[in-house]
Amino acid sequence: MDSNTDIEDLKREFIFSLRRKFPRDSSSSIAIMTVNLIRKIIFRENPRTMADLQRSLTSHCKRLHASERSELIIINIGLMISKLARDEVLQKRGGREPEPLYSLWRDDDETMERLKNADMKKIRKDLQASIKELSTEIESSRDCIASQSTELLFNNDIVMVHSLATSKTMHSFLTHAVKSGRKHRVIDVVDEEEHLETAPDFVTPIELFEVASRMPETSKVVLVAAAYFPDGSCLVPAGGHQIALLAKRHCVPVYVLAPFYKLCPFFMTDPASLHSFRSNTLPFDMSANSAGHVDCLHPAFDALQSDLVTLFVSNTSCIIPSHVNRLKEDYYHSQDIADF
Amino acid sequence: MVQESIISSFRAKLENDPSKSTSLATVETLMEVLDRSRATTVAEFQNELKQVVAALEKTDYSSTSIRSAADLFTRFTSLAPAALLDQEDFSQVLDLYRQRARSFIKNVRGSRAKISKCARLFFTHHMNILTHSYSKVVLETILDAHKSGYHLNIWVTESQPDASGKLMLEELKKNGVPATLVLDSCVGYIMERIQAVLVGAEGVMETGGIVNKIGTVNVCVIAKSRHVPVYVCAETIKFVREFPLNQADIPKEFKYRTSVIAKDQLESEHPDVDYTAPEFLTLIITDVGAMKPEAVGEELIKMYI
Repeated sequence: MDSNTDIEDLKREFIFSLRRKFPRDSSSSIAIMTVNLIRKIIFRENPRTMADLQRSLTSHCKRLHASERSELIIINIGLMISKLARDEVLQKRGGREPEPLYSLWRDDDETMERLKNADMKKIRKDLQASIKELSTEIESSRDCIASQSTELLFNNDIVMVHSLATSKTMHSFLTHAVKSGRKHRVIDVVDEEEHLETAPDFVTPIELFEVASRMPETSKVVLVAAAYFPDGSCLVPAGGHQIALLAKRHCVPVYVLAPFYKLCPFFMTDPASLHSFRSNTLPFDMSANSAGHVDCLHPAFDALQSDLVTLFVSNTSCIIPSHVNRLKEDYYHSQDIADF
Repeated sequence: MVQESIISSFRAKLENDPSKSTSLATVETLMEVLDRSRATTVAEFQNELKQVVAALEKTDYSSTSIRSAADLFTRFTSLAPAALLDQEDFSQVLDLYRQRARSFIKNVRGSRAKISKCARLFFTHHMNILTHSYSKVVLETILDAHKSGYHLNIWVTESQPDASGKLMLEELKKNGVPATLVLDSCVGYIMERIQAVLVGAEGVMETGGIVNKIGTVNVCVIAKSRHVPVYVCAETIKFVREFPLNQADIPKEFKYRTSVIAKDQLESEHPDVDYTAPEFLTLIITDVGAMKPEAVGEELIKMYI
């Protein structure tokens, strides 16, 4: 069988499986799916040198992302694996000094030269192992985030949350706090009326318009990130911006649950470019009635500026927005970001 | 004397090529010193550099840029592995220094293009951009974006006392970018129609704030109060290890030209630069990527630790 068509099939299947699922799968399972896909691609293509590997990773990730614009996770995982391969090569070579931590001035040409001709055969096994580690880290991230709830939520807290129904991470974060005996109240902001009835029994569901009146009694706000960026800003499900602004008005701390695979190394200058809407715009016949002058937008995300966020709850620890930049350096290599 | 010839070659570099930055001229001059050096110990070589840097700072070019470039150059080239330093033959060490210095200069030469690529993300079509004074990096960034098809409207402050904004306006117009000159006192009036402020910097401080042409702080404070993002374009070679707390805390040699300080009548002089605190800046766009002002201090600490 031709290996190239095989890869195309895999990719197509991956995209189809993303599109078939509505509502969208949880982001951790998408991340794991991506890791598996890339592992298979590397396995089939069997690149000979590091340069080959990086080229193929970039091109595959770019094309996958182009067909699913709103899934930033695909790029994140691709770049993370590229950094893993880099680290493996440098470790194998050994002997030389490790890469300097600072990015102000380093001898990129020298390391590039070393990397370019590195033989992939030697590191193949180690790379497979570290990719496996990556997927275990993704799998365990939900539990890690949940276990931090006891440090953030206390007795008698009144916690306002958003998008509890769609986020499993948020759900386990709250249930973990309840299980460890915290006596707090949870107010859940729901978007649609039917969620009012289906809410779990430990929460009080309210609608978005009630947020302003309930904020004075709230002591903490917890949101989930869809993606977060090196400048400390993040994307949250639509409605989060209003909640965060009101929280700032009443000096209520805002925590954002953000597993590491949602850290996007690029800057989001224009959230509209994601073109992600939760429902279709007006049906054609209705739109035709209004001569196309009326449009009904239902965006999926809000962009939050970094000054609206108190803490990001990542799987390793809680970090303040200005430290996201440092976290980025743990998972990505600046050269990969520049090349992308 | 050797130093006279070095200083004159430094001046010649800047006068012959108006687009060359003070920082680049500084490192090229230091490279010449390194090439000629016959030092036999590290201390001797560093002493040589120190003398040249002191002489360069006596010229009327921006001391901020000279100091940051010289510091980073010295630090980067002298990061030699310990094993090499123990060797008898110092010429080998000097060879390593030269090799590192060359890669350093190569990076500096390429940095404006990298900044311009990085900044492209933040432009949108028909954007109104306000810029202050004349900055080579900002100019190149805007011209590059213009050439690649972005339609940008640039508003340039006149930037007295030397009216360097007029120079910026001329350069922009010459290249076909729609540009308008505004008074320095007009910044508050114009800000409501501006979508982004783009400024350069003479030096980026450890706080994440910038030292730049006088008037920058006015522009940035007004922008902040209207929630207009302020982007600073600066090469990493302009990162300085200084931690100013307020305007009065900026080193004197940054604030005034050397010839002005020599006159010793500072009470009747206007400062050339001011300090803009990090809270008024949105992002610093450098050749290693865009970063929050907070990240500047971190990078500097990692470099000099």
